[in-house]
Amino acid sequence: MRLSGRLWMLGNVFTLAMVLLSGRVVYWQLVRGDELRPVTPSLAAAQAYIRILEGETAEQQLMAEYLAGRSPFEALPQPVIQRTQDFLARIERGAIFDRNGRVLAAGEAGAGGDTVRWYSEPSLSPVLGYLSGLGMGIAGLELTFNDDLLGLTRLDAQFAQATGSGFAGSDLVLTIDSQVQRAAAEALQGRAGAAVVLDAHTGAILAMVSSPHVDSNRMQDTAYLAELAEGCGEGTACEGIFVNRATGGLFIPGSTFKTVTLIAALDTGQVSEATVFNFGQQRSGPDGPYYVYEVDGAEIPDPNHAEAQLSLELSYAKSANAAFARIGDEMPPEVLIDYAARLGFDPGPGQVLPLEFPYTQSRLVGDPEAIRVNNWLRAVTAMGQGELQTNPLTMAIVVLAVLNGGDLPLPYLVQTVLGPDGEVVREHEPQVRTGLFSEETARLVEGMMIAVVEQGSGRNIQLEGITAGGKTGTGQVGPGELPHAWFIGFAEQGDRSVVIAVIVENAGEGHDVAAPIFATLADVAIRQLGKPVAEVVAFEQETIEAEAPGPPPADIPYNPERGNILTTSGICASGDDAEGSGMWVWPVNPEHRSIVGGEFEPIHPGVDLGAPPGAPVYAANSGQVIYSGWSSVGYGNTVIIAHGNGYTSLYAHLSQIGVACGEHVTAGETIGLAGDTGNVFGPHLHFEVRVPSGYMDPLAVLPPE
Amino acid sequence: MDLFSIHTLLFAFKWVFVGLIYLALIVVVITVRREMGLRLGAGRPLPGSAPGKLIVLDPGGAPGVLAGSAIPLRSENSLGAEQDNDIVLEDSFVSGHHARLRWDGAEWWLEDLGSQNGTFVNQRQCRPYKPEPVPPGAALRLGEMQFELAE
Amino acid sequence: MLSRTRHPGRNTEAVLLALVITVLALGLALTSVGLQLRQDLHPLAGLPGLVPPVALVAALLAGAHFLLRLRRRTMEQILLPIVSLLFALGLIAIYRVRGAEGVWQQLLRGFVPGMGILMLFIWRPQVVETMRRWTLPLSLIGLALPIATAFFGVVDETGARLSLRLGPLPPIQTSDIIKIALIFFLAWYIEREGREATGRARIVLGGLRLPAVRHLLPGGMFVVLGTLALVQMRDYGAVLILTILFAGMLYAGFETRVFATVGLLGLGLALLAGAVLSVTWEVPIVIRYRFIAFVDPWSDAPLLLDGEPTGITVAEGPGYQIQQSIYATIAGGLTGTGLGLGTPSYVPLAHSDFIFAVVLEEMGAVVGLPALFLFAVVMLRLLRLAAVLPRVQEFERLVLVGIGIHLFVQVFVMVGGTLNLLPLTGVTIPFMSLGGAALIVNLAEIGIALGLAARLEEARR
Repeated sequence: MRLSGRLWMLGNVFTLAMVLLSGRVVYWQLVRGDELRPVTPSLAAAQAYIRILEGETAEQQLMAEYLAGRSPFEALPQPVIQRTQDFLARIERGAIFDRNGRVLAAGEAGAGGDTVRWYSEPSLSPVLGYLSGLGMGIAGLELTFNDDLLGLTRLDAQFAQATGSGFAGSDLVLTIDSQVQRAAAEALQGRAGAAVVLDAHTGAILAMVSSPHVDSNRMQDTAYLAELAEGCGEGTACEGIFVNRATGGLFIPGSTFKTVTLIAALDTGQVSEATVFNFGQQRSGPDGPYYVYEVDGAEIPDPNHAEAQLSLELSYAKSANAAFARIGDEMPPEVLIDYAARLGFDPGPGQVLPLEFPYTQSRLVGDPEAIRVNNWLRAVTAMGQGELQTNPLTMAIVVLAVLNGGDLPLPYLVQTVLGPDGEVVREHEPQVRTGLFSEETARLVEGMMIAVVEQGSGRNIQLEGITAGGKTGTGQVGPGELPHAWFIGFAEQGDRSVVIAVIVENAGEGHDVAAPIFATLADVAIRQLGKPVAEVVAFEQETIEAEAPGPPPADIPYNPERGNILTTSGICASGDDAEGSGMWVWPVNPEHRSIVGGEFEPIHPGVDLGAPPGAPVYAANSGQVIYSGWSSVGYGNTVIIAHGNGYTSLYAHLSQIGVACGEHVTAGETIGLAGDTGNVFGPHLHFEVRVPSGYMDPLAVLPPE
Repeated sequence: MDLFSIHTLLFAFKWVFVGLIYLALIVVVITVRREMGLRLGAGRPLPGSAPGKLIVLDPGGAPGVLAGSAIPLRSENSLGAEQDNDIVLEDSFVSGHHARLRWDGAEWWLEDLGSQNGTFVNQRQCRPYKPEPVPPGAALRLGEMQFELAE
Repeated sequence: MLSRTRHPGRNTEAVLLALVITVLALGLALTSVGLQLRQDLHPLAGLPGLVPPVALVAALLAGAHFLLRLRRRTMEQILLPIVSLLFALGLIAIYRVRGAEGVWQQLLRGFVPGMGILMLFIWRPQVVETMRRWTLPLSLIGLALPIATAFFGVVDETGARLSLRLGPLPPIQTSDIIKIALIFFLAWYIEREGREATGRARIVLGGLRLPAVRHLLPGGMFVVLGTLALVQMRDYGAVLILTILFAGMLYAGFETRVFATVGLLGLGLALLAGAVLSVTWEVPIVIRYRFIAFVDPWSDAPLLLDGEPTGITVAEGPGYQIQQSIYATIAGGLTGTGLGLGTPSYVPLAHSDFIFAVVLEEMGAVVGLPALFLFAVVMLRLLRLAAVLPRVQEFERLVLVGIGIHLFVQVFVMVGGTLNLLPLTGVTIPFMSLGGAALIVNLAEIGIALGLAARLEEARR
């Protein structure tokens, strides 16, 4: 009896203990799992951690920390970092293309937290953001569409993740048009400012620039960041380099806001086409004559026109402050607040536009109560000063709604998400906010915007064959500083129609500074919209003739961000004593000389020749084999031959290697068989010609076919 | 693509692996259940060394049984009306498989097998399927039959 | 014959062992393919090298099985398969983190000799009887070995003396031997003295009963000496196991009031010793920081060594391995990352102490929880066997209880440490961890259990 009872008790203790252990497993996996989840696919915690770093202050702080030698990720436990990196290393991050299929960003984060991601269009840095591994984290579209770029939104990728295999992320095709983007960047001429260009029918963003900005390609370059930190103390000119001003800036809109006031007044019937404003007695001041609108004993000056009497249309076209101050003064406060909110100024909870990328809400007034009781504040707000704060995107949205008859197609940046085989994962679905104001109001405002260009403050815009309309703006920022120059407007030709909003900070009058930029962009954008979308714009490369002696400058210089593992590891011979024959020969037989897929461009610094598996591969020149074997960076079985004078040639994806490292070869000698080893979509010979400073265009080196 | 299919295969075989482990687990559980029909404490008997017998006090309705006669006990004894019992009790109030009496090496255990009319030890009814120790000299009643458990 | 005697053979065991060998082969193969894929090598290239180890395991298990058949045993058919299944899971995890080298080490240094001893017990169950007769000298040797180790042992990289080199033999970890010695000693001692000690116990303080000092002294001496030796070896995990074994076997062997008295006495002595030690003896830094790391593995408290900052925090030091094993557990989730496809190498000591984290990461809770269940089954089977043994065989029953407690403590303490349920203590997980002496001892214990089952069966015929 004694022992049996004790055994029973011991048995209970043992069982209980095992149940406790099992419960602990469940506790970690289910209860604490989400909290500690970054080790698993969603990366939610890691992302949340990165997200709190958004916004300029945080980013500057982040930069300061990084420069102080501390990675912001060090706050994450080491095991999380290790496992996150391992997870990311299994994924080939998707690329980002513009609407014409031009590569904007490609490559992926390296396993060591370094990045070899490469961005082709510097002016898109504020939009695309950057990917910098453990240094500065991740920002911009790279962050917003991180799950897509990693492929995690695809079922097949989720399955691949479950099976433990590597997989490719999805590519993004943006609505950005590189030509318009470049034109916009050039038009700003490095001045602080921002611009957006949208397709008026769809809301697709064709260009978005913000300057000054960081360089996405250099976010891991400590020297570069140190330089930024030094030049970017408080109150210096390069403030806001991390902010995308086009969506995240907050500027006083100046007279461009009169458009909002006009919409509100017309839509509520406060004014009509027939309304005429009398401005009373003209006064003269040191800067010339001006009219005055008096409200609550205060005077609002109006120096924008000489006429004592103007119709509503001309008041808008000539930006008559007195007219709009009066509209504002007489407008019921709730009307102004309501219409401003509909168009993105202090929107109510249900009025915030669900855009796919982050943007900052514009502000009508600091304290809504003030605009109800203070007539003067309401009057100056209505004419575009007061406490208003906005950004080009919001102002473009106003114009967009006018052009669409009071409906608003939501602006967007990502047209298509493409899977690794080019299949469409997700297509942009047009979203429209309807009935912001009446169609009649929209028609009238559109006409008045055209009047601005034809007879008002935008007269210096001359566009042949293009109907343009808009509104100038001059945002007063304070005594002693030049005002912000604004222009918002649209341009139409046939069924092509674009909306553009431009701001140049502290640059002067809108019609002097911003209107010409509008004109340039309108011209380029209308032309680009006319081109078929599928056309692939190749990189423009200048071929510089090689000059002997000494290695020639590279056609494409090494991108330091990409790294170049092949030349640093596994090289078995110096190749110093190699001597070329002076004659290049094709590395494949004539029938295989077609270019398949990859052309010579920065992200693919070689050519892909259509050699089937087993086809012989020849040495393109005499020399010494300095690398022969498997390459871990995706080249597969690879041979590199040094030809003297700094030239080397590389043969990748071979199925068989026929030469040993260190062996001397003569031009035309068979060095192996073509194949499909490494990162390939099909068999071909990847052929590169390298010089110490980078890559040469192989087709320029090889004899003509 | 080749890589992908190998991983898919690995994934499938992982579940085969897990399945085999669970198959083993099921066999274990079944075996344990079968063998652990006995509670701890109610140990298996050592054959031939059961020190006791049943002395009939009241034969009840069983034909041919005399009061005072002794029934020798093995270490495990099934009692009931059916012919496959070790000790067949043909009283009409005794169930087919009425009870089980077993020696664990130290003492006797009586287990009622869910009988119709119950099993009583010293006038106290046993709970069905719950072995109870029976002290030497105790009076047992099954149906209308009464016994004394003698050493 | 009135009662029909069925003779079921050992078919259950045969089926289960076949399953276990299949699981082992499949698990190793999947791990190999997964590892090869990660290194971009030919997926199947590693498979031929797996045939010898699997064949060796299969041969040994089959050997034990047919030995049992030969002796016409039918009892206890699931103990060996469960133990070998746990061993197989451990071997797969060892292969994952230590490769073929680890597998061979585990097989040659642990499994082969361990199975040899196990088969000896099956073949000659009387050996237990012999051991009982020779308990005193045997357990004194078992006590002497750790004491010798404490002073003459091989110093490892952490400064602890854990193993003893005897002539040309590979060094043996003697702390495993003292546990089995203690089990035998206590079983022998309680059987010999227990009844008498209880019977002659004096009544103190109302209900408590204190056995005479001469009944207590030898057992107490054994434990105290062993503990001191282990403390000297800095094997605090073994101290813990020893203490729990002692308490557990006293509980199983003594009458309640005696146990309570002795327990209270022991507790009082331990508190007294603790009070003295807290003044004279600084708590080893290892223990102190392990406790901090247990409370919060992510703690950023600075780590001090001799009062000097070492520049690292608890999270980077002793908390690190707990963090790693927690993240491994989470990364594994319900179904695991797939064999060879996770990253369990991040967990320090993944092949020995933390092997359960490897199982949880790559095989998931779907395998990890059944493993715990199987451990529970093994322990309960041992207790059950103890329960069905005749009462007169008190020594054997107590040995079985001791073995059960030993396995229990190892599993609970180490898996508890892995999952941050208990402070981390460096012990091995029975049958799974890579470790020669520990595996041999655990297999020998199972051999003893099978041998005792055989004795019981012989007695019943």
